Amino acid sequence: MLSTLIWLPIIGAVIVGFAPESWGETRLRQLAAIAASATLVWTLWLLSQFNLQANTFQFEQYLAWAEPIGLSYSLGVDGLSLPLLVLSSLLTIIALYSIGEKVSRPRLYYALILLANAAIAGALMAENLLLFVLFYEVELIPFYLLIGIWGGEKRGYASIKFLLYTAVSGLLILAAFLGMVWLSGSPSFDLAQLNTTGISQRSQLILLTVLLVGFAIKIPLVPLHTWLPDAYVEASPAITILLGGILAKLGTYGLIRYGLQLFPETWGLIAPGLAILGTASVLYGAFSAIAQKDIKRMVAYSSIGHMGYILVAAAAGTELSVLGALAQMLSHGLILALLFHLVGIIERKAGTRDLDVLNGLMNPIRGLPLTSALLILAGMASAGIPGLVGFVAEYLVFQGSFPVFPLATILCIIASGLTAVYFVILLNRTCFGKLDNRLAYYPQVRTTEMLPALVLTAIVVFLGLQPNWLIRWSEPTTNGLVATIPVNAPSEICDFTGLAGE
Amino acid sequence: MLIKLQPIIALSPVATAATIGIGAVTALGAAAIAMAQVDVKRSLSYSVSAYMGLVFIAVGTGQQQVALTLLFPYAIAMATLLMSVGAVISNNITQDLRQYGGLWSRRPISGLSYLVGAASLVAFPPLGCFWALVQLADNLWQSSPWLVEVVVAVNAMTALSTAREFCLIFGGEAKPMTARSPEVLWAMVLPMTVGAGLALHVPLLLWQWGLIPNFSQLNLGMALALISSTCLGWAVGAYVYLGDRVAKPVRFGPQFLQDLLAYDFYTAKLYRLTIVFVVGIVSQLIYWFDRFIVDGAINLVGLATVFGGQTLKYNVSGQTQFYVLSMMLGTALFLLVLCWPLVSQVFLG
Repeated sequence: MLSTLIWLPIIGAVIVGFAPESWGETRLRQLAAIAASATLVWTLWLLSQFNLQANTFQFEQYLAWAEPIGLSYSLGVDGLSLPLLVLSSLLTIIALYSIGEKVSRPRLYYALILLANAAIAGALMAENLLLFVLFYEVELIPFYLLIGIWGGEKRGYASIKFLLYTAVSGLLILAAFLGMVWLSGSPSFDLAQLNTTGISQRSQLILLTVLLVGFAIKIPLVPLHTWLPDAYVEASPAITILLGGILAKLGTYGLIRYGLQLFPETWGLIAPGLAILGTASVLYGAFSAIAQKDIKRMVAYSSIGHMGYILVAAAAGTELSVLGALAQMLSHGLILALLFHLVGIIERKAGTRDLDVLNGLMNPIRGLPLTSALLILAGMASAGIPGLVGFVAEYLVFQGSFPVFPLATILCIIASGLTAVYFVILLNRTCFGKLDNRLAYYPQVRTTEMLPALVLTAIVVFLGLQPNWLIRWSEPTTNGLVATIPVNAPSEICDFTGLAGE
Repeated sequence: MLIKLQPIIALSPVATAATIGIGAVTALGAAAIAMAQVDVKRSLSYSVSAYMGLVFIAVGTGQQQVALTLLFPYAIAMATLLMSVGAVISNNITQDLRQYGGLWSRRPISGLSYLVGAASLVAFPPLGCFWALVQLADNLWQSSPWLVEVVVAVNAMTALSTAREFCLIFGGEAKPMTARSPEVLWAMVLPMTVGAGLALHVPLLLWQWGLIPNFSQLNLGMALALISSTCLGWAVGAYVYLGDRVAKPVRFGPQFLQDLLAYDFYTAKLYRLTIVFVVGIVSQLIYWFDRFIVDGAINLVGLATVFGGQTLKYNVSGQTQFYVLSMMLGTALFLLVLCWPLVSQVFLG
């Protein structure tokens, strides 16, 4: 059942990749979209069939693959991975349609996007540590090529940097996994058979640190983040949506799945350090974003900041905060995709991303009014304005983390104020002001270009108004995760019983 | 929100004192700033802040009901004022009070609406805010008399600033900007007149809801003090700003005080010099650090690798002597390292 999510995109990629040369770009894109939509429909069906009460893996599949080395093809989803799978399939379709102009070598391009989707789905569903590493490494190849072939001016530099960093990340994770299995004496790499309680605390600490560094590159955390601005800025908007929307989530997902879940006792030891790292990332990202002159780079740095919240929440390890971490992954994926799509449209139409050149795009006749309006909405969502999905996630994160790390949480709240600062700078410079008459001959934004943004906006608003849908699939799983952590913090939002008489 | 939070604020003496302090400073400061603005909308918005300060005082002293009673007539009066001023601005473009004058004959509806709004904003019986202000001052008289002075002063200053705006806009001679100024479209006149009508009916509504105190319970002295402060404010405003008895721009007190009020206590500048400056500097520093230290170190490693490879390339010279020399050197170095304990004993003792 779950294999469909891996093999459907791969079959699609093969068909698109080996399609006859006579097929036009539109036809190839439609073909890729059919494969991606079928995957999305399948994940939505899984969503409807998912047992909301259970906190274990569901729809499991097991095939012995290479038993001597402990590798098996075992898949399963729980409340942690299923929402991310939905996000991944959704953003793949969005990315397919956010290209906007003719792509050179379309067969390779669409095939690679589908392959990337398949590999990410595989990594999210893997229940075997080696299988996870396999998919985690496989996904690098399509992304490396997608950045390196269809990127901007410095694409070679950016793609090599991305490849080197993430390959090191994969190696570290593999090393940690090998250590975990060898030290625990587990017969295979299957998640279900692995028990780390036999490992001495010192070894656990070392393993967890190696794992943390590996995933920290992917998330990325300061100071291992320097591949991110280059990769995000040089990649085309569609690829950036996939990079920021889904790929970065593998890092935080892995940290919760293989860090928090496998080392519940040791997690408490490194949690304060993690919270400091996360807060440093949050502040660093926000301050760096303020200083940027390039709007795409600004959004890229904002992403570093927002991924930091996830780490703080995961470190706090309360029921609310871990749920908030997952909510923040989803909300950040949606909002970042929307932002990058809109910035991509602006770049295409206005021909520049320079804050000092752009001006007055809100102009209803000659500017890009709808794009700017949605950009304002996306900025508000990212800054955590209530009624949009960003608020829900940030609120859960802050509320959940405050009892454990008050100072870190307060610094994060201040940084979320700084988010408002750089978005006001961005919106003020690009959307408002007077349109420069010499430059304002922008091509029309077509409906097909706007459609992905409208879909994302609708979801951002809907989940902001109906936050329950963001978390209902995950709550039993995250609560189950937190229950394994020895020390538990209060999970209630606030005790209002004392004020009931008022 | 603040009024709903009153029970929580009342629990802490610090919070209560802070609420009252913030309220008093805001009320007095904003009322004073409102008198010194040349932009008519800025002036009105500072009057809004002054009244919010009064609400803070009411909440801080535990008078939620009075706070709510004050907010209702205040809101309608302020809406009428802003609508009337908005109607004027819409046809005359400028918001600068110095460019206005002589609109009374041209814009009677706007002028009348302005007067109604101005009268119901301050303590002027029987219009709306009078009742709330009297109750506020009466309650304060028992607990903290100095706050009564604040209320009376704010009332007088607000009366003065509304009178000033009225005289500058509607009184005096027409100026170039106001020479041609017909009433605006009905779509703006209608809400303006409805607002004025509502403001006139506010006392009836308050009476209906039982919010107007019995005449026997009314503190007549307090009422008289408030009414006379209103009249004083209007009289001074009219005297100074109607006609040319006082040279414009009006000078009072030392220049620095006037500038302080005209530039809103330099709040914007203060922000620019503190928070905005710090955030700007920090973000530039971090950006620099990110670009040259973090990213620089990574690029340095990359460059060093490439440079090392390029340099080693030149070792392959193809000359036998060169290879022999490098082998000899290598062997010597190797032997030196191996025999270091011996060598150090022999040569260094």
